[in-house]
Amino acid sequence: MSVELPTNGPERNELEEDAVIEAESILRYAEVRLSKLNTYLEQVPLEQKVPLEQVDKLKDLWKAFKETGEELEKTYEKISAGGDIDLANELVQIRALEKKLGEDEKAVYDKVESLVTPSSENQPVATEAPVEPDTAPKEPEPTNPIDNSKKDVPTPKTNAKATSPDDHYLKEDIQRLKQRDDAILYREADSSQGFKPLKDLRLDIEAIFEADGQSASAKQNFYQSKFKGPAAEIARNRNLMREATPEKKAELYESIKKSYEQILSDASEWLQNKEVYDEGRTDAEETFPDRQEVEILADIKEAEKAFLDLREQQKNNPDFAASVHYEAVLRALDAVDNYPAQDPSLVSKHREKQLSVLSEALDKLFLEVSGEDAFEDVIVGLPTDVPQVSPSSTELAGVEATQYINGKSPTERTTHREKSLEAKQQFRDIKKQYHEALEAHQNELKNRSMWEKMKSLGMKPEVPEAIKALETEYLARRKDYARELDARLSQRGEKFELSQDDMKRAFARKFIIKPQEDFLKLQERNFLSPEAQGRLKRIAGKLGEHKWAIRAGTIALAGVVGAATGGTALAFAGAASWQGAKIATSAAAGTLAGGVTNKLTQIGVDRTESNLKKTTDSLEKNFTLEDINSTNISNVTNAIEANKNAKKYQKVATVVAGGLAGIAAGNAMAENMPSGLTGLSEEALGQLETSKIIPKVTETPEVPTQPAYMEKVALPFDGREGGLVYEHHVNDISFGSEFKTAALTDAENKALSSFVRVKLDDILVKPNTPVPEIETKLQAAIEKSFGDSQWWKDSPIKSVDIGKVEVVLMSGTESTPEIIKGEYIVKSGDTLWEIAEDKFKDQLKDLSPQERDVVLDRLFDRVKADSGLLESLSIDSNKIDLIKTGESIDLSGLQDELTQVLEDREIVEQFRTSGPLPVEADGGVKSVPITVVEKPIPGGTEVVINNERSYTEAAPTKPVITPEITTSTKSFYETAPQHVRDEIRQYFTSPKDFEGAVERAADRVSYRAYDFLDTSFNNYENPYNLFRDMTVARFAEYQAMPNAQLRSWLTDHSIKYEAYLEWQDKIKELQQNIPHTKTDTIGAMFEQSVFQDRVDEKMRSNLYRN
Amino acid sequence: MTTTQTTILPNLFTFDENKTEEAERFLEEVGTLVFQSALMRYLAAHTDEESSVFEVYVEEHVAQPSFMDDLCLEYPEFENFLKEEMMAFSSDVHSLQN
Repeated sequence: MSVELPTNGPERNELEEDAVIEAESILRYAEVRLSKLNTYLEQVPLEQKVPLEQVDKLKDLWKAFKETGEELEKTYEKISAGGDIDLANELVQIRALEKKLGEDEKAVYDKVESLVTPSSENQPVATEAPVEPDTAPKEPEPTNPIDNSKKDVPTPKTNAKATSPDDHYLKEDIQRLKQRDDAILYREADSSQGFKPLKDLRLDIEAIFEADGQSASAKQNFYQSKFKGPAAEIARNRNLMREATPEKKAELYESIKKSYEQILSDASEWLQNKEVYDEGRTDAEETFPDRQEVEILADIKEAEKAFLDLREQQKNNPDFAASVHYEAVLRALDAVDNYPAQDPSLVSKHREKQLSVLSEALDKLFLEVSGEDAFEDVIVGLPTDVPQVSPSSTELAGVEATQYINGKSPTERTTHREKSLEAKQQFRDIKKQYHEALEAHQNELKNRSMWEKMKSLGMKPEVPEAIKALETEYLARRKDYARELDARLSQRGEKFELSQDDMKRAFARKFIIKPQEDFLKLQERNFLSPEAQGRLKRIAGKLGEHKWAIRAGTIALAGVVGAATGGTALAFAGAASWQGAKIATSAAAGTLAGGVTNKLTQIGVDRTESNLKKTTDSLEKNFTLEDINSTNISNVTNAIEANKNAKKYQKVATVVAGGLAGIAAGNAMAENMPSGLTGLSEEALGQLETSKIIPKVTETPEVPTQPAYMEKVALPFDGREGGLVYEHHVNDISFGSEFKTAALTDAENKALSSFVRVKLDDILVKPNTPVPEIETKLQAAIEKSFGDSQWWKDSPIKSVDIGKVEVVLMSGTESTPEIIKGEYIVKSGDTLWEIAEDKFKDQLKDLSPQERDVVLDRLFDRVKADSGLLESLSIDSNKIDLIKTGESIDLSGLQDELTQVLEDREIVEQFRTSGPLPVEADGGVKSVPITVVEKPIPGGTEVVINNERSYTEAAPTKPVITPEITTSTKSFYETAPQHVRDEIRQYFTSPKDFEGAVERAADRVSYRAYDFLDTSFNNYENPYNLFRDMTVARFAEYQAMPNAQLRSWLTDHSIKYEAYLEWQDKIKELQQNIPHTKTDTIGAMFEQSVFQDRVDEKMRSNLYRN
Repeated sequence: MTTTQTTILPNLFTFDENKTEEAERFLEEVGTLVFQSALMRYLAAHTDEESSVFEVYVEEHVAQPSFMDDLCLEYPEFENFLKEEMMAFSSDVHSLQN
C-alpha cells in the first residue's frame, strides 16, 4: 500500500513531524544499543582467550553493527532535514535498519558468547555483562549477553523477546507488571533514558501477557481498548512538544507520563483480571472476538484525538469554543467517561450511543470551523491518512487502524480508502499541473490582444490543445476522486452522517465552487488591474447585499437540475465541450429554465418520466416564450401533485423554485435569463412563499436577530374592550442592532426596562392593536424619554421588536351568544334591572356595585330615551318598568347597548388616567385637561375625542364627553382647569416649583448647544425666553427666513445659532407629541410636555417599586 | 474504477431542505461565483472609465426590483457574459456528475 504523500502545507508538516519523531526514537535507541555493546566489548578480554581470526570475525560483526548504525543515522538525518524526499520510503528504510541493527547486535553478542564460553554457551557470563554503576542487577544473572542487556534494562525488549525469551525472566516481569512497577515503562531502570518507544512497550507487554498464558485475541483486545488510546495521546503530545515553550513542554511531559502510567495501570489490571477479560473466549475464535466494542472505544479515542487536534488549531478562534457543536462534543466525551452502569453490555451500548452523538457533533464542528477539507478529513481521511505514517500507527503496527467509518469489514474499508487516497492524490497532482499550465498560458497572453485574453477568462476558458488535454485529465481525475469519496461516504453508517444536504453542499464546494474560485483568482491576478480587482469586489458585494447573488444562485442551480434530470440542451453542451455550449447558447439559455419548466408542467413531467431523451430532443422546439407565458404556478402545482414520483419532484422543485417563480411572474425565462432573475424579486417571491419551496428572498437586507433585551416579560398587560378584560403577554422584547445593552449602566437598564413595561401597559390598554403599531409607539416613546440620554448616542434604539403578543381573555366572553341567548321568559318577581344584572353579569363582573349601578342606570336611561331600543325588548307594555310573568322579552338589543355603554365608560376611564387629551377645536388641535366632564348636549352632535376616534350621540339625553376647551395663548398652567392645577401641584409641590422645573428643562435643551466657554464667558440668551410666547405658526415664519437673515436676527437677540437649532428640533418634537391648537404657545406646549414627563417618570418609579 | 454505488453525486443539487440559512448561504456562494466570473470578463474587456460608469450604474440601480433587467438592457454584453457563466457553471457540474 502506498503512503499518501501530502501535497498541502498542514498535512505535510504534520506527517513529516510524525516521521521525524519516529526516526529520532529509532536513532536514540540505536545509540543506546551501540553504547552498551561498546561497553560490553571493552570488558571482554578477547585477545587472551580466542584465536585472532575469531576476533577478526567478531570485529567484522561489530563493524557491520556500526555501519548499520551509521546508515541508520544518515537516514534519520535525511528524514529530519525534510525537503524533496520519498518520506514513506525513508521510513521503511529506517525501520529496516533498526531491525538489521538488532540482528547485528545479536550476532555480536552471540559471537562473544561463543568465544568466551565455548563449552557452555548457555551459561551466564556475569562478570562481562555491561553493568552500569547505578543499575546493578538484582535478579539472577542472565544466561547470555542478551540477557545481560536485559539486566541493565530490567524489562523485556522487543529484540530480546524476538530471539529467545526467558520464561523465568518474563514471569518475574509478570509480577512486576501486576505490582505496577513503572520501570517497565522506561528504557533504563532509573528512567534516565526516558520512556520506551511505544512499539517496544507494546511488544514487551504482549510478551508478558503471552508468558502469562493469554490468548492472542486477549492481547489484541488489550491493545485496542487500553493501549491505543493513550498511545495516540502520547504521540500527539510528543508532536506538540516540538514547538512548545519550556513551560508547555513540562505540562505536555506530565501528560505523556500520565498516559504511560495509564497503560501500566491498565496492563496491570488486565493481568490481574485476565479471566474477566478473556472470559468465554477461545483461541479458535476470530482474531477480534470483541471487535465491535473495541472498535467503539478506539473510534471514541480517534474522535477525541481529532477534537483535541482541532481545538489546538483553533485556539485563537474565539468562535470555536462558543460553538454549540463544541459543547456537544464535550458533553458527549464527558458522557462516555461517566456512565454508572457496570454491566458490560450496557456500558458498551452506552458508548456506542455516545459515539454516535460524538461523531455527529464532531462532523458539524469540523464543518463549521474548517469548511469542506476538514469535513473530508474527519469523515474520511482521519482514520486513514494520519495513522499511516504517524508514530502511533507505526509503533502500533500490525493492526488495521480502526476506522471512523463503520459498517464494513476492515478489508473492504481499506480497499476503498486506498482507492480514494489514490484518486485524491491523482486529482491533486493533475490539478497542480493544470493550474500551472493555465498560469503559464495566461502569462503568455499578457502581451497579446484583448480578444485573446478575453477568450481565456471565465469558468470555461478557451485553452490551447496542450492544456485542453490537461483539462480533460483534470476533469476525469476530479470525477474519479469525487466518486471514490462518494463511495466511501456511502459506506458510513447512518448514525455518523451529516445531513445529506450538508454533505452535498460540502461536495459541491469541494469539487465545483472552490476549484472554480481558485481558477478565477488566477485569472483575476493575471488579467485585471488592482483597480479593476477592487471594482469587481465592490460590485459583487453590492449584488450580494441586495440578494442578487442568491437569486442568481437559485437560477444557476435550477439550470443544473434541469440539465441533470430533465436532459436539457445543457447536458449536450457539457458533453460537447464548451464550444458546443457556446453554439447552443441561445437555445440553452432557454433550456436552463425551459427544462425546468418542462419538468414542472404535467406534460413535461410525463414526458420526462416516459422518455427522457424524447424530452430532451423536443425541448428547444417545445419551450418557447409562448409556452412559458401560458404556464402558471397552479399548473405547476398540479403537475407536481399529479406526479407519481412526488417526492423526487418536490426535491427538484426546491431547487428550481427560481424558475417557477419566474414563470409565475410571467417572465420569459426561456428567452431571457435576466428576466428570470428579476422574476424572483417581485410577484414571484410571493409565489415562492406560497409554494414553500425555497427560502423567501426579500428585497430588504436581512437584519440579524437581536438578542432579547427583556426576556419573558412576566408582567401581563391588561386591556379592556366592551366590558371584556384581556391580558396581553409579551415574551421577549428586543431593540435594533444599534442598541447595546452594555452601553447602559445597571440603573439605566432598570429605568429603561421599567419604562418599557409602563409604556406597554399604556399601549396595550386597547386590545387587538396591531403589533407593528405597538412597536412603533413604543419606540417613539422610548426615544422621547431617553433620546437625550448620554447612552443614546452610542446605543440608540431605532426599532423595537416585541415578537408575537398573546392575548388572553380574562373575564367576560367574546361573543354575544355566549353571554345571552336573546330571549328571556320573565319569572315571578323579576325586574328588568335584575334580569339585566343577572344575564349581563359577565360583562359587569369587573365593576364595583356602585359602578355597576351607574352603568345600568345609564343603560336604562338610554332605553328610555331610545324608542327603537325599547321596542327591541318586545315588552308587551312597551314600558321597562312593566313586565309580566311568563312574558318573553328579547335582551339582545339591550345587551348590545350595554356593550356600548361599557365602551363609552372605558373611554372615560382612559381619560381619567391618561392625562391631557387632544381635541379638535378652533380649527386646530387643542390639548385639554386630564378630567372630562359629562353633561347632556343636544342630540346628534358629533363629539370628536381625539384625532382618530369619534362617535355620534344620537339621543338628546345621553351623557357625552365634553372637554372644556380653552383657546387662550396663556401658559398651560394658567389655562388648566382647577383639577389639573391640583395635579400639577401634586407633582411639583407648587406652581413656582413647576415653573422652575420648566425653566430647567428649557435650559437643558439650550445647553446641548453650549460648551464650557459658552456657559462661562458668553452671555447668550436662552432661546426659550424668546420662543415661549410664540405660536408654532409664528415660529415657522422665522424658520422660513433666509439663513443669513435668521442668523442676524438671532445675533441681535444674543442667541447662539446652534441653540436655535436645538430648539427647532424640540419644537418639532412638541408639535408631534403635544396636542395643540394654532393659538397655543410654544411655552404652553413645552410646559405640558414637562408635566407629562413628570407623570411618566412617576409612573415608572411606582412600577419599579412594585 | 470502482463500481460502488454512489449516493451524492447524481443528486448533488437537489436538497431536502432549502429554507435554512445554510442553504441560502450556499445559493449565495453559487451566485457570487457566477457574478464574479461574469464581472471579471466584463471588466477585463473595458477601460477603467467604462468600468467606473458600470459600477456607478450598479450602485445607483441595484436596489430596484427591475435592476437585473435594466442592467442587461443597458449592458447587453454583461448579459451575455452572465448567461455564459451560468451555462459554464452548469456544464462544470455536469462534467462532474456524468
